[in-house]
Amino acid sequence: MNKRDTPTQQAAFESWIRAAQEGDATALNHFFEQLYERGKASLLSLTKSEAQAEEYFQAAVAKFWLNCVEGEKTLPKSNIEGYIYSIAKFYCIDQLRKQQRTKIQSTDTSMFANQAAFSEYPPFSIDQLEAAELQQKRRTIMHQMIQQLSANCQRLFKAILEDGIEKPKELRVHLGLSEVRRVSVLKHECYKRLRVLTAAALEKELTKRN
Amino acid sequence: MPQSSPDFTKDYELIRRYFDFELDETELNIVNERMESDPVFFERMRLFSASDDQILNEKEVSTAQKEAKTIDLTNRKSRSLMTRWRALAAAVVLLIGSLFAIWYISNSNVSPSQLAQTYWSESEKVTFSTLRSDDASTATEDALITASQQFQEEDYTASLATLSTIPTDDTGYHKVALLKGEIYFEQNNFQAAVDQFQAVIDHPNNEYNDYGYWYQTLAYLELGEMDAARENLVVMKEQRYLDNLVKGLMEEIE
Repeated sequence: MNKRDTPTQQAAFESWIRAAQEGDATALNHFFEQLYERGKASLLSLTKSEAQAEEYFQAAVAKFWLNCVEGEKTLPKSNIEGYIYSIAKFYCIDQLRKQQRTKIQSTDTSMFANQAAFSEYPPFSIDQLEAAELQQKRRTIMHQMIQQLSANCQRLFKAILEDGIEKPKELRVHLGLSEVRRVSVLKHECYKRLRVLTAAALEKELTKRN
Repeated sequence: MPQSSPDFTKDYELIRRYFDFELDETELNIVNERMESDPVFFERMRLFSASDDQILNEKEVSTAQKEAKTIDLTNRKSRSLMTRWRALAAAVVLLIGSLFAIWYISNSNVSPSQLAQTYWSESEKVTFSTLRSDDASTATEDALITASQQFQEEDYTASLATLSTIPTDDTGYHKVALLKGEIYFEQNNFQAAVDQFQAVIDHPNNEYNDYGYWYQTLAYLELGEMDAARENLVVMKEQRYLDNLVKGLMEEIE
């Protein structure tokens, strides 16, 4: 799982993705089905439920699909199988944490071999707030973080949120950019930065409350 | 045990790149290792993931979505494992696409119609422009392909005319009804849209129930029929159709 794809595997994978982008996802589907079967036992050791194992695997694949198929992002320079499996595993453990809220008790000893590590709880947790409160807090913080972005990003978000301008062509004119492509690039960069800043600020807020 | 970086932003940038499939092998190994041994880092991953699902994603501007905002579910069959993740991906895109607008209106008083328009305008539309299935006649397939192309070109009158050539007893008629419903919605003929989406829902063993229910719910909102909209959302929730969208809209309505 941790081996990097060979050039041949990488080329095959890229061709499956291209086919999926053109409407034929047969090969890619087959790959994901095989991948699920190979990793199922390990996921099951975390979830104890095949339905959940499948659900979290699907969530990881959906994320991959959004990024690399629909988003047409360049494939990561790492083993695709291992990457998807890693994210699926994260979702499984995240769900365990949600269920247990305060204490992780996994029977997967390899996953939590260092029990001492998890006896030291972090100074914040997303479980300390109810979902609605957390969501509200995120919204507030995101507003604040927009003010910390570059002037261009602030203008972009103002145009989208306050002026209701959504179409790239209109945004291009509104922002005085030379081509529509630059709107996409600006959005991409601003979103990336805002996601990071919002998460970091939310952690500070949760730590303060704790 | 690896220590968490006191620099929040640096960790979160690594985590963002992880969820965006940007890490190389070495970085992925580092994240995997820290996920297992560093509780602070793991909690940061949880925090970022939870936020990210609701806040922002650059996929809003992905090429696939920019082009006509359509998804072609032509060969969609029953909900096997691999069609479900695709639907999930579509649902996430749908949610993300609506995110800013929904976030914006969530703190203000908006009418059900405005809510419906917000979700509708950001929704991908189901079309059949590359249809090659085994449950419709050739003539039906040809008509659906043509009608889908006309729909994408916003020539709704021509699209309806094309669809009218397909007999109502055709085995693939639920696809016709779905496309008709979308056209009527675009034409602000919401009662007709509701009826068409009902035909989709009533069709036995069809694979478009999720979108049938979803679009009908939006049409009900346009008509101000809140109880009917809520009932649809309850069914969708039970059936786990388009989970994220349903959850979001339920919260908005309540």
